[in-house]
Amino acid sequence: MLHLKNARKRFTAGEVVNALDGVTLNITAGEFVGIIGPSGCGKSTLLYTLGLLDSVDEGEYSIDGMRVDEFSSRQRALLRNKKFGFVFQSFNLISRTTSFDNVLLPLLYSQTRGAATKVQRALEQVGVWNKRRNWPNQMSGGQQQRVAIARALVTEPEIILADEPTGNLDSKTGSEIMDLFKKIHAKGTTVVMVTHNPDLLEYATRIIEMRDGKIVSDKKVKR
Amino acid sequence: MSIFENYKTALKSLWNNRLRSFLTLLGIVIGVYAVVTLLAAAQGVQNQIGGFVEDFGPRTILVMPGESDSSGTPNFAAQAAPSTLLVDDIDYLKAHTTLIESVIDYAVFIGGLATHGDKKLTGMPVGITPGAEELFSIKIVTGRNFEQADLDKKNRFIVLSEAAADKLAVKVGETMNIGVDKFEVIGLFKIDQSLSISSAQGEMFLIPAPVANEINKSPQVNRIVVHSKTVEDVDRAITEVREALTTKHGTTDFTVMKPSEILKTVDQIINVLKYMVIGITSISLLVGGIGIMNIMLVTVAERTREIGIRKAVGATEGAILTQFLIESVLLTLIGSLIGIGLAAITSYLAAKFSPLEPAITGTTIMMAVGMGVVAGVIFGLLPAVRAARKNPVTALKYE
Repeated sequence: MLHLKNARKRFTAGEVVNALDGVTLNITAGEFVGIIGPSGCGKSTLLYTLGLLDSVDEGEYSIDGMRVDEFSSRQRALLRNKKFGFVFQSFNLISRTTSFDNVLLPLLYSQTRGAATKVQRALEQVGVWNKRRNWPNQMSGGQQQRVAIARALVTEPEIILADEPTGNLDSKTGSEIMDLFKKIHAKGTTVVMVTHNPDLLEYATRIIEMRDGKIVSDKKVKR
Repeated sequence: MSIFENYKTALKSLWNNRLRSFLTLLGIVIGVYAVVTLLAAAQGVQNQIGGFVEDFGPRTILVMPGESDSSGTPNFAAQAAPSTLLVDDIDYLKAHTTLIESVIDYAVFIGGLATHGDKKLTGMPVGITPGAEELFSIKIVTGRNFEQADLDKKNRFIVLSEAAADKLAVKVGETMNIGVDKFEVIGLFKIDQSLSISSAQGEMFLIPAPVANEINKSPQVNRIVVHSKTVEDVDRAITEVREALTTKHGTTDFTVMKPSEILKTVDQIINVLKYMVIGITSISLLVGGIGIMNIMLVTVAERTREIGIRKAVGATEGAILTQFLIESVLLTLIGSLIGIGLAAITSYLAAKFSPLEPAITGTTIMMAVGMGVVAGVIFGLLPAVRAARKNPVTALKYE
């Protein structure tokens, strides 16, 4: 479904950093991929590249056979809305906006019909429908991350991309969130999760380890 | 995102920063308020003069002292100097023209303080023939007006405005003074509002023209009013009057015109004033617009992370651009509407408590709203483009 071939991405921050150094990767539907590695190894860059938030300097990227590295900014945005749901470490909810409106946001951009029902379903699925009128600062971290997951799910995307989704949560709340990802995966959604915590990968069906912009190991795990 | 949703988002964002939004749109409010109020005042003056001139018939021809300039504008400076027109010009016109009616009216301006008992008033005493009241759009409300007999007998009668009569506490039948000369009050009139600007708040006194000549000890007249026999002949009659008087005076030391030409001249002057008003107030709109650009740039910087989030959930660059552009346009639009509202209140109060009759036209409103919206687009564009072009990954990491 996602096919990255010989992808390279460089940043210049004082010195040149190879965030992606010839990465080739295939992700198929239904996988739960955990990407692990130390800080600065390029795992977040890989995730954002897969989710069309970032683009490669060299190499090819195809989604369902389409060369998306040749897409315009607008085509990438439209495909991103349809195909991917993002979950971030710092939740990234819009402040002074209710949970309901935060979850509604992706549907406004896709101009989907029956949006209110979909938002309700998504918030119920993650167990925070009762917080629909709350602003982010009126909720705990765990509740905010649930709202963020509802926002990722509301468009019924094929792939959820999560960047350290439990990084800002205590271990109990973190494992509740991981249970949520397990359920999402069990319903057939592909999950790609970046983390530096190996304990979180107990649900992953495939573990990719990165170092210095390269994939150093790629293992399938039987569950 | 639908336009409705964009407006909702923009309104919410402006509401979340109420004080800042209000202070930002003050610049636009003041600019629009200034342009609408001043244009309404200019339009009011234009309407009033238009109404005054419409009171003249289409056959009316006016002769004024002083030569007009090449563009036809009357020589207003000549109005202050001794008049170049004389009473015998009227007889000469009667004898040497064919296209004008035999009755010729005229007006003679005189000086002198109006007094009644211990009450004093500096007004505008004018000697007229009965038909010349057309010049001043008056309406008798008490007593009577002059008749030809009063002129022939040089009766020392006076007709004055109600406003002047009030101030002097004088009634019909009583005697009052203009300077040292005594007059019996025979009638009171109301002045059409259109004149009140040009006649010292309507404090006007009318006396028979021959009496005015007697007081002035001079045969000078200040206005001659003739009528062409037919509407079609009015332009040829003007030429005839001009030629006749030029022959008599040996020079063109006077102006012959239709009142509509006065309107044209005044119109030209007011139109120039209007453009000046628009020009000057545009500067305040420019300042207001720069304020909006400044605040929108701050807003975009503050909301960098939000822009990243929106892009992550599928907002296109166009959607982000539209969102911020609508926000700045909404600011200027609200500012324009408040400015127009304040201008309407000011115009209403001005009409109620002053002789001005400001008129806010549809064109003025459309222009004010248009200027506001255009300012919103122009000054909101740079911040909106900046927002739209933000790299989503960098934006998401923005602290």
